[in-house]
Formats: sequence, C-alpha cells, structure tokens
Amino acid sequence: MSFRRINDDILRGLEAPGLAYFAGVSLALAVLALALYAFWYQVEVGLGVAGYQPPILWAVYITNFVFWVGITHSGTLVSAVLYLCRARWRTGIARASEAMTVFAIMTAGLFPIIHLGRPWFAYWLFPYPNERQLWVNFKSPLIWDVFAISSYMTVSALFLYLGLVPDIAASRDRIKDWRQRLYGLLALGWRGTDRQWRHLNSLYGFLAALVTPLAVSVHSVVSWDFAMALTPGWHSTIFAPYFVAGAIFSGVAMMLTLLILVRRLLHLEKYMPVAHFENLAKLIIPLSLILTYVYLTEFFIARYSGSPFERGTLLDRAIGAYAPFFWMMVFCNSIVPLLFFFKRVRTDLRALFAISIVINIGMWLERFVLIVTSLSHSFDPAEWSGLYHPTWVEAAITAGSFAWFFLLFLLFVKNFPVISMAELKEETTREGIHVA
Amino acid sequence: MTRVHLLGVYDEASKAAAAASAIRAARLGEVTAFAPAPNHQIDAALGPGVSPVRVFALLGGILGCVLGFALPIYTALDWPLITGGKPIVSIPPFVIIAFELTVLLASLGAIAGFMVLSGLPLLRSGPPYDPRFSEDRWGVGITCEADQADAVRARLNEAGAEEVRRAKP
Amino acid sequence: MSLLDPGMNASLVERVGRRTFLKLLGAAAPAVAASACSPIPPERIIPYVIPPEDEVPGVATWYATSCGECPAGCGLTVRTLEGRAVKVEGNPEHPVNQGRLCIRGQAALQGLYNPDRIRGARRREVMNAAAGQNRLTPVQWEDALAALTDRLRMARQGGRTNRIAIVTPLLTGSLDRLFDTWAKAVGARRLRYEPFGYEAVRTASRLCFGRDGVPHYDLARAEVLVSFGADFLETWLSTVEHSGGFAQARRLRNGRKSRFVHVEPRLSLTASNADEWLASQPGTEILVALAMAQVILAEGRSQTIPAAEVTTIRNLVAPFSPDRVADRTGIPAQKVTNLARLFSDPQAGPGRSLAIAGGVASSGSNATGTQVAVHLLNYVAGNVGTTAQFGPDASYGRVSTYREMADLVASMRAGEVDTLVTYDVNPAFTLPGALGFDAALGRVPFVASFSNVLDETTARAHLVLPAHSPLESWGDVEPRAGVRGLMQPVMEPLFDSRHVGDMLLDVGRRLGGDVAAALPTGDFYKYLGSEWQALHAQAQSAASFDDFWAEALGHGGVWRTIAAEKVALSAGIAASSFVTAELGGAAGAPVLVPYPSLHFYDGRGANRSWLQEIPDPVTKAAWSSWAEVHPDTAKALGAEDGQLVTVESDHGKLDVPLLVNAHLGRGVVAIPIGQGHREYGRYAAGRGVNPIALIDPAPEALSAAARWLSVRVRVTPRALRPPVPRLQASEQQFDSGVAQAVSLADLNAGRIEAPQPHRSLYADHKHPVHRWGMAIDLDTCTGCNACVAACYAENNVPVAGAEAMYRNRTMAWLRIERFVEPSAAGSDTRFIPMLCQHCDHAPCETVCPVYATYHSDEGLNAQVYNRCVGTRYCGNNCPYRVRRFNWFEPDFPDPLHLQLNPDVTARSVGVMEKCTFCVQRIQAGKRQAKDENRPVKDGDVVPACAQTCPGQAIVFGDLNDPQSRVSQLGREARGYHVLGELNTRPAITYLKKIVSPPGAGVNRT
Repeated sequence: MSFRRINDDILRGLEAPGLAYFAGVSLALAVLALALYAFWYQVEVGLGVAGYQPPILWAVYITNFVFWVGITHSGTLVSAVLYLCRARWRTGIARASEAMTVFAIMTAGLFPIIHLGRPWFAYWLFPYPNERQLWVNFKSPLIWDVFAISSYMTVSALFLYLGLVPDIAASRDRIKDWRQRLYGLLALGWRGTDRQWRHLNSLYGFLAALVTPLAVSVHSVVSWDFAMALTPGWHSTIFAPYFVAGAIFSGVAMMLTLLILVRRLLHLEKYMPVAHFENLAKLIIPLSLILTYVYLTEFFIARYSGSPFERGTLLDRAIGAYAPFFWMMVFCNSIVPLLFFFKRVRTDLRALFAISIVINIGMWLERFVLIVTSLSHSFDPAEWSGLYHPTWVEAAITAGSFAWFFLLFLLFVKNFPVISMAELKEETTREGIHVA
Repeated sequence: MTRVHLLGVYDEASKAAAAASAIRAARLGEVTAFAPAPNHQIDAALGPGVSPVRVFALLGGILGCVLGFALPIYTALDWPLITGGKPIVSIPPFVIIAFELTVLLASLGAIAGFMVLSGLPLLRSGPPYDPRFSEDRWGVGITCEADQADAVRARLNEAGAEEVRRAKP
Repeated sequence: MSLLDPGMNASLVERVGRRTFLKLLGAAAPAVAASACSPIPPERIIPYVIPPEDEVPGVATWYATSCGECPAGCGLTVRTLEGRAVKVEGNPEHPVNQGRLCIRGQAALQGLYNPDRIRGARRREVMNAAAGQNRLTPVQWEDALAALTDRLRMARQGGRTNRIAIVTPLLTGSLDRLFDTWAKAVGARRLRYEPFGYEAVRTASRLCFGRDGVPHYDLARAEVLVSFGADFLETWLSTVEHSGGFAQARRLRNGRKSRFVHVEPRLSLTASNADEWLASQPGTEILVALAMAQVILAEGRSQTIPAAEVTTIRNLVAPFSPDRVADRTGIPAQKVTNLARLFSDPQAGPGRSLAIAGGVASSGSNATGTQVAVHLLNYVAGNVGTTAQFGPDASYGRVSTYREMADLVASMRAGEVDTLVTYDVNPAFTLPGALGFDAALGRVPFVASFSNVLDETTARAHLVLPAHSPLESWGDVEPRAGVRGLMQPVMEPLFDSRHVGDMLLDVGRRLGGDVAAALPTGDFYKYLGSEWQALHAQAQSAASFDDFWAEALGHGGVWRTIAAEKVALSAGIAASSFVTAELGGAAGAPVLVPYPSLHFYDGRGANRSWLQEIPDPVTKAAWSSWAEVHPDTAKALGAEDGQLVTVESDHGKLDVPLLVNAHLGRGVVAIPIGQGHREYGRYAAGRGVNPIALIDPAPEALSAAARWLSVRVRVTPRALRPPVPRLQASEQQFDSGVAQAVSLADLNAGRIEAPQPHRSLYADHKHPVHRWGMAIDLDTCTGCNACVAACYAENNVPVAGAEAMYRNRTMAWLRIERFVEPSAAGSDTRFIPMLCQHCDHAPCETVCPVYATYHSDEGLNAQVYNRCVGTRYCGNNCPYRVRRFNWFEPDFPDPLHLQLNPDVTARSVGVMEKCTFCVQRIQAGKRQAKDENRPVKDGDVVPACAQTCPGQAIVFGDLNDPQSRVSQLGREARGYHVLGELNTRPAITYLKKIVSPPGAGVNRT
C-alpha cells in the first residue's frame, strides 16, 4: 500500500468533523458542567452532601479513582510491551490506547482531590516544606500514590507525545488550516533526518522499557492504599498482583470499547483488522481467569487465616447487604468473559463491544465492593454499618469523570493521527510491498 | 569560499541510500538523509553508531535513585515525628519513592538526551526540506563548498533523483 | 450572644451598670474568639475596654451551687471563664453526688444557654379578634408585673380565696417557703407538682410504720439488692447517689462483691446492670416480693423482729408462696425461693440486703401494695434502719399528690380558677391527656407563667415572666433532711429575666395591704440570708454568720448526718392491697409500659440537643420515640422492626415506630416518656410521641398517685417506616471479644488467661516524662452516658442532628457500646465506653500523608486540626472506629456558642477529630504543678469523662508512675486491651466485667 495512501487515510481523520462528533462533544460538555456544579456545591456546603455513612469514609470517589487508574494501565502497558516484543499488530492500536492511558490518568488524578475534606489544601500533599518546615509523611501510602501517579502521568504523556512527533510533522506538512501553526510548534521542527530517526528509535525503546515497570508499580502502589491498612478485606499481600491484573483487564476492555468506536468513526477498518481485536479478546481470557482465581483466593485466605474478622468481612461481602453487587461483579468479571473462548464471539465486533462494557461495569463494581463492604464491616461490631446510599452529587461527579475522559479522547482523535503513520510505513517497507 | 546546499528528492529509499553513500564515499560535504519513516538501508548507508541516549537515561536513573532516598530521609530527620511506633527513618517505604523517582528521572534523562542529540527543537535551519519527506519521498541533502556542487549534483542524479535543488544557505 | 444589638445592651447597661456591663462584654470576646472557625464576622469581636480587676482572662473561676435539673439536688461546681459558665461538674464535697454528675446534670448548661429561652417578658396580644388570633409579644417588665398584680387583685375581690392557683415543681428550701408565704398571703391554692411523685412509697410508709415519708436508701451497704422495677440508675429518686452507692457495693473487695437482682418486664438500663434479671409480668412484681417474705418467714430466716410481728406478717403473706404465684408472675418458684434465701442470708447477718420498688412495679393500681410488700420484705430482713433509713427522708415526701393536680384540673374546668400561676412545671405535657388539662386551661381566664422556655403550658399563658435559670439564681435546696445545698448565680443573667422570688415579692408589694405586710422585706437574696441566719443559729457554730455564710457558699451548702430513726410496725396492715395491677382495655392485649427516660426524665430534658443526640443506652436510638416489643409480640402483631404502628388505648392513640427487642417480656409495649412535645423549642418540638396520652387518668386509690401502668393497648401496624437514627445496629459482639467478662469463681480461682505479650519489629519509642493512660472497669460501668455528655461539654463536640444521624454521622468522641451475651441470668449486658485508645503503635498515624496525626512523647495520639486535609484514611485505619469527621461546618446556635470551652479548638468543616484525653486538662495539671513547683502527682489530671463517672469506672493517670492508680489497675488480672491481637498497644486498659451465674449465692468464695 502506498505511503501517500497511508497519509491520505490517516490524516483524513483530521478533517472537519461531522454532526455526530459535535453532538458527542456538546453532550460531554453538558455533563461536565453539571459535575462542576456538583463539586462546587460540595466544596461550598461540605463533603457531607455526599452519601458517606461512617464507618464508610471512602466510597464512590475512591472507587472511581481506582477504576480510572485501572483504565490507564493497559494503554501504555500494552503499547510498550507489544513494542518490546516487536508484535506487528500493535501498530493499529498502540496510539489510541496510549492516548486513552493519558486521559484516563488525567481523570483518575482528579478524584483524590475531589474526595478531600478540604480540597483547597490539596497542594499540601506535594513534597514541599510548609511555612513551619513540615514536609509530607513519606510513610503514608497516599504519598506513594502522589509520586507513582505523577511519575506515570509524566512518562506516559511523553511516551505518547514523542511517538507522535513525526506524525505531527506530517500533519504540519499537509493540514493548511489554523492548526498548522500548532502542529509546527509541536513538531519541534522535526524533519525526519537520519539522526532524528536513529535517536528517536533508541529513545522509544528506552521509554517502552521504563514505562512498563512504572505501570506495574503504579497499580501496586494504589493497591497498597488498601493492603497497608489493617481493615479486614483489605489487609492482604495478594493485592498488588490482584490490582495489576484487574487493571490490565479493565484497561483492555476499555481499549476494545474505544477502538471499536474509533474504527467506525474514522473508517480505519483497513488499519484495524478484526484480528487485532481478537488478539485483545484472547488477552482478556487469562486475565479474567486470574481475577476469578484471586476472588477464590481471598475467601481461602480469610478461611485459612483463622481471623474471625477476615472471615466475617468476606462472608458479609458474599451474603450480606452488599451481596447483589458482589455477585453482579462475579458475573461480569468471571463468567461473561469466558464467552471469548468461542471464536465466533471473539470475532464479532458487536459482541466484543457489548462484553467490553459489561467487563468495565464489573470492574467498577469490584472496586466498589472491595472498598465499601470492607469498611462497612470491620473489627468492632458496634460500628458495623448498613447499606450505603450515594447522593446525586456523587452520581453527577462520576458521570462527569466519564464526560471529561471522552471529551479529551474525542478532541484527540479529530486533531491527531490516531495511528502512527511512520510505523505503518516502516511496517510496509519491512514487508517490502512498497510501490511509489 | 561559499558553501551551498543541494537537495536530491527520491521516490525510493534505496535510491536515496545509494546517493547518500556515494557522496559520503567521495567525501563531498556533509550528508543528511530525509525519510518519512525509519529505514535500515539509509542507516546502513550513513553508518550509524550506537545512539548515546542510553547514557543520559543511566545518569537520570542514578540521580533519581539518590534523590528518592535523600528526600524522605532528610525530611524525616528535619522534623522527626513518631507515627505508628515506626522508626523516624524507615527505609522500606522510602524504597517506593526511590523507585518512582529513578524511573521518572531516567525517562526524563533519556528524553533530554534525545532532544540534544537530534537537535530538537530545531532552532537554526539546516539544509532545505521538502514537505513530501513526511509523506512518500526520500531526500538527500548535502552541504558542501560551491565548487563541489556540480560533482554532488552529478552523483545525486546518478542515483536517480526525481529532482535536484540548489539553495543558498 | 448579640451584645451589640442596641436593644440588648441598652437594657443591660441600665440594668447592671457600666462595670458589670463591660465584664459581660468581656464574656463575649473569648466566646467569639473560641468560635472563630464558625462563620461569625470578625467585627463582632469586642476587646476589653477597661479590664475588670477581678477577672484574669483565661483563668477559670469555679462556683459551687446546686443542680436544678431534677429534685435530687446534687451539688455542682461550675467552671466560669470571662464571666460565662463553660462546664458543670459534681461538687466533690456534696454528700448526695460526691463529685459525680448524671447526663442530665451535665446538660444543665444547655438549659442556661438554650437558644429557645424566652429573652424577656411577654404578654399575649390579640392579633385578629375575629379569627381569634393572638400571640405572645414583648412587653416591658413594669407593665408585665402590673398586669399580673391587677389580675390577682381582681381574683381576690371581695375577699374571695382559692380563685388563684399556683403550681410549682417540688421546691425545697427558701424559695419553697417564700412561695408558701406568698400563696397564703394572696389566698391561693399552692401545689408542688412532680410527675413522678413517689406517693405510693409515702403511703406505704404511713401504713407500715405510721410515718409519711420517703426513706433514704443506702445502696452502698446492700450486699444483696433486689429492685422491683426501680430504675435507680436512670431516674428513681436520686440517680447519681444511687449509682455511686451501687458501684461502691459492687466493687470487688477481697474476692467479694454485692449481688443485684432486678425484677421488671423490660431490660432497662438498670436491669442491664443486674447480675440476674427476672422478667416479670407487668404489675405482678408485688407477688414476688410477698413470696420472698413468705419464704423468709416460713423458713424462719428473719432474725431481728419480735415473734408477734413474725406471726402477723406470716399470716399476711401466707397465701403468696412462690409456687402459688409463679404462674401469675411468670417467674419460676425456685428462682424466687433462692432469691429469698439469698436476701436473708444468715452468713451476711441482718440488715445487709435491700429491696426497692418503683417504676412499672409501683405505678399501677397496686402501687401502694407493692411498696407495702417491699417495706415488709425489708422489715423482715432487718433492713429497715440500716439500708432503708427513716430520718434522712427524701424531700419527695412533700410533693402534692397526683389527685390534688386532678382536683385542680377539675376546678379549672368548673371555672373556679380565675388565675393560674405556673413556675417550671409543664402539666400540659406531663398530665394524662384524658385528664383534659388542655381543655381546662382554656376555662382559666388568666394564666401566668414564670418559666423561661416556651413549653406546652407556657405557650398558652397570657403572661410570661421568664425567671432566671438555676445557674443564674440565688437559692437553696434540701434534697433530704440534713442536706442543705446553696445555689448561687455563676454568671450574669444571659437575658432580660428576673429571679422568681423577686417577682413574687415585687407583685406582693404592688398588691399592698395584708399581702405586702405578710411578705418579708427586701429582695429574695435578703430573704435567703435571713433563712440561713436561722440555720446558723441551729448549727450553734462559733463562727460569725458572715463566716458561716462564706463557708457554706464555698462548700456549696451545709450538711449533717441524720441518724436513722427507729420505726415500729403498725398493727393495722391489711392484705387487701396485695393484688396485681388492674389494667384497662381488652384482656390479652399488649400492656403499655411507659417509662421515664434517662435522658429526658419527665420530658424537661427534651430541649437539650446533647440529650437528643446521645443515643439511648439500651436501644441506641436517638432524636425520636419508639415502641419496644418482643419479637414474638411483633410477629403476633404482624409488624416488623422499624415499622410504624398505631398504639391505641381507651384514652388516646399515637403512631410510633416499632423497635423489636428480644430483652422484653412478651405482651409488653414499652414507650419512653419525654418526647412528643408540641412546643418546647427547636430540639424538642414535633419529635416523637408522648405515651402519657394513653394512660388512665384515674389516680391510684390508696396513694392518689398517677397510674402509669394502667392500660392494655391495641397495636395496629401501618404501611410506613419512618427512619429512626440508631447508632449501633448489632447488639451481638460475635467473637470480636471487644467487651470481655470473667466469672467471679474463675477470677478468684485465678483461672484467667494472661494477655498476649506484645511483639514488634521495631524498638519501642520513649516516653521520657509522662505516659498518659486510662483504665476502665467494665464491672462498674453502668452505661449511663454521663461521660458522653461530659465529653460533649468539655470538648466543644458539635451536635450533628437527626438528619445526619440517619447516615450514622455523629461527632461523639466517646461512645458507649452495648453488647448482650446469651446468659442463664436473663441477660449478660456489657457496656463498654469506646474512645481513642491512644495506641503506641497507632495505625491512624502512619497513613496520614500530611502528618496531621502523630504520637506525642507523652503517649498521646495528637490530631492537628489545621494540618488535616481530610483524606479520612486515618478513620479507615482505626480498628476502634473512634475518629470523627466534620462533614459540615459545626453549628452552635446563639447563645450556645457561649458555652464553648476556650481551651479547646472549635473544629471546622472537612477535618478529622477525636478524643484528646482532654489534653487541655493535662496541660492545666502540668502548669499547676509547675506553679507550685512540684512534680505532677496522681490525680492532678482528670479528664471530663472520668471526673463525672457516677460509677467511678474510669481512672486516668501516668503509666510511667508505677504507683499511680491507673498503673495498678492496669496490672490487674482482669485487665485486657480491646483488639489486643492487632498489637496497636492501646493506652487504655479495660477491666473485664465480673459475671456470676444465678444461684451462685452471695458473691463470696
């Protein structure tokens, strides 16, 4: 396939969008506005406007935080890992998923602030000496979070950007509207000289190698927010791998959701063959099995530990007030993905799309169940709590986080090449089917 | 003596590579190859060394690791507060900070290295550039003495250039 | 306190003069400062213009006075700062409460600072004659008093008498005498009205010993205590005194402790503290008492009384052998027999046991009978004169009977009353609805009230003359013979109120003539002085009166011990009163048991937000009413927990949510008294139901008392489920081992497992000077909530309100957890105060990202409010769940903010808070020691909770000092740490409750 053709196809995505696109953007903006109002209201009146019900001191906001951190995972991870493994089929999906990573973490990062009692002091969480020369407490998992998340955000953003530079240059050379200056700026004067290519390749390799352990560490650290606490149902060494697996699981599902949409929206059927999606589906199967294994292990550990508190909490999770959520989660994460054993399902985009959404509902529930049931049923029976009811504020802010994420993603896909043209060309050259 | 820029445009990587190596062999000025995608023929023609980006990554990593331990330890000692009955300086949690900072600064180092080495962002203009290089054309740009220009032009055409341009620096 | 409202300070200045006015201004400044975090604009801060020389800012002044919350008359010491009272505590020298205070006493401040207090004289003005609209509107005192005078003059025209009625609560001492004098002078009918008047005890005493009085019960000396429904830990007679005595008898002394058996249909707070709870059929408790007497006499275990009397009594009780009454009482004969033997244990010797009756057992048609039976029981066991003493009689002996009130209502209805004057009574709320007080009140042309809160009665008055609150007044109280407590104003009156005595004198003078002549000259303070001159004369002390007076003021009163008088059994005791209670309504229907509430007493506590917010110790419900029924009863009714039911008697009906409780007799519906106010301020009005509306208005025949236990009710489930805030869902502790117990036998035999030794990866950190710690004895903790209220008062703990508590949000730093273990003894209820354990290895500290909580070198788990950003991670990681988060900006409605303790930061929205071990008191203790340059010694530092604990279950001190009481208790075999296996190393050691199975005999090894 000719190089010009590649540029034509990919850069067509940057041309004036249609009505559906604008509808999507304005919907996202509307929901976002509502969420902003809800947050303002919460800051004005106090965190009490959320449904917190002591001892449930963490709830929907932290659930969202963990959920979005999870989404961030596969993006960069898949892209980087596949790059290191020289998996060809990566090309079609890598950039979109890297973008997904960056936007998801930009969403996740908001929630630790939203959930604060005094969000206007959020900057106290960053390591600088305050007026009394008091620094932060590096022993607190929340500070580990701050470092892990911000490092990951920085590196994966740069990973995305540097991969983009040659394509931005290409856009600069073709797009003639107001964006040309923007591209010119972002392209940093990229001209595709031999030197630039050589160093870029080397750098890209390094970043891929560095961002992979970073991604693993981020979700491990997030899992330690819980594992480091005494709370029964949290205090478990399995959490780090458990969370990482869950994160990739949900991330891959979200990739499916987004890429299937992008494929339709930008007519990239040629560049994203169904085979790629099938590969992702195959990736989901073992992850789902791992999660199922972890769910079972949790109960085994509770049983085996002999701790009445662990047993009580896990039992309550399975048959207590929150049981419906728990079993819903099991259904979504352990049962439904098994359909991917059937090739017919794996290769049917509509099925893939539906199941990917089911999986993400399941993963949201997983975090909710994990956080809320453990808090509602810990050591002192006098302080056990009944069912917790979120308020409209939490609902609005949660919806807003999705709006924010999709808004960013929509803006990205219409303004930047969603598939790496340079890589496509590299591939085709390697395949030696290039004709001018 | 005045220096001039010459630019040969090719429709195939191999031709560009051939031109580049020919000119390089004849020691006629500095050669810069333009390509829409990384290409091993061209790399071969211009004899690439190992990219020194890795050195920057290493330095960044070391700096990050040191910083990652120094900051928590210093701050803990700066105002010692007992929390949870643990020692003021308890290394295990600090390892996490060190790890994150190591990776972060290693990456930033590598990126800085890349910027410096590949002359980005581009501040001074080099040999002429053609927008098609980001699409489906290859280019070989030469900066040489004015009196060598004809020799260069000849070699560019030999390699089968679609066109050859000459520009004043 | 709106001191800057022009109206306000105008009246103040002219009334109190410049100096005191400035002092008052001073009072405002720290108040505003203390509540700086709540949204008060800074321009309201007022600096001292001329600092009054008798005030040192920041240094507290303590005034001794007496508590006016109930007739028990406990002694108080009130901590005042910059001219405002911030904390009340028990007066350690006072013989009644010995330094302790109950939850209602702690809340006295909220009576003083009640935001709904009437702030000046009010007169009812017609708004719209046609529509009959009228409302109470402010009026000048001059006009108000004139209006009352005119009315009285009219009422007395032509020498008519008894056209005027004066209803006061049970007053004692000088004010009471003044009221009498005044009533006589104006020719008025005078009543001392108490809803719970103990008429039956008096009548029984008259019948048995020919003496009309309520004896003084000495629980401290009772090795065996049997209570027939007497809730002496909640409201019965003198709660604090009896709690103290109970705890004293209970405390383990060389392997021995007293035994307490409670007979009542419901597991009340008092019953929860019994070694054995016998659930009786309501109104049949009398039979148990008689059966016990029967056994004692039949087995010849009565050692002290003459043979003649033995035969008389034996004949009286002969028909009531345990096996004959068992089926009616629902209590197995064997248990009663054992109890009787225990009660008259010859080893212990005579006079070492005590039987008391009250509540449900003594408020039916057989109330007097029950009391007679109990008197006899005590008599045969030789307790009369030892644990039940006549001589130091309780002042209750002087209450007007319920029938007198009923008669008053009748004559009001008959239009025989022209003017009704009330003071601090609320018959519209506390009289049975069916008595028709409301209607009768409508027939009274003129009603004047001296109350300073708009209760149901005052709300219908034509004239309201607000009197000072007790803490603003001079006066004296005489809770029992020999004890004379003084009341002195601890601060300037907050509002434009007057002393009720001065108002009486003023009006009397205005009436002139014989009235004026009959009244003492001068103001009430002068009158009080003259009364005390008489006392001085009696005392025959060498000191001059001034010294005597100063002495008395300083100590809070004068008291002498009155020896128990010998009483003889009167001949004519008839068995006719030995019957079970008659109950109106359909046979077989559930019996209504209305019971006075620990928090609200007869309802007068309902406008104190602390009392509303702190959950009931038994049901753990707050801000509402409920009807307790047994699960079986609920099933029979086809209703379930939380469901709304209509409770209907022949006399009234009400809707109330059901609260299913296994620890309750079948066929009983128990509803607490105190809620269901129509008026009475923002905290009380429109909240819950008033079961008094359901009871039979006819008085009990012999004693003329109200019959609280009088009706069976129809209970019909409704479709609604109104939310009831309940703070503790589970009353089981499963195997969490939070509240532990050990049997007395095991303890004495040393069969008690040693606590796990603590292990740690890290070296222990140092506590160079002090390490503060606490020991809490679960065996003497009665769960009375006094410590909780004290903590609210001391630490500026905000009130969350009902709405918040639906979501389980409360700010209490200290809570009482209640667990019920299955037990052969009816119940093994365990109360455990839960507060910050100040762990050495505190899980909350490590996880805070901003160092808002850390461990001080004195072992305190410090919380730095202004550093907290509100991640609430600490709360999640606290296994004891004692950390509280400020969901909203705390609200202290004016003038409640004046009660804020300036030594304690008022927290703002979004930060965590928790128990500090009263760090401000620790600092004060250390400062004092420093001033007296000596080391801090044990007892220098006492947190608010420990200070007020009526059972003295809480001990605080320095664990570094091996001799301190807390260290010694910590070393006891019973000591354990809650959730010790988590290795958090709490600074609080709990001492296991000591349980002893029924039939264990007197707890002796």
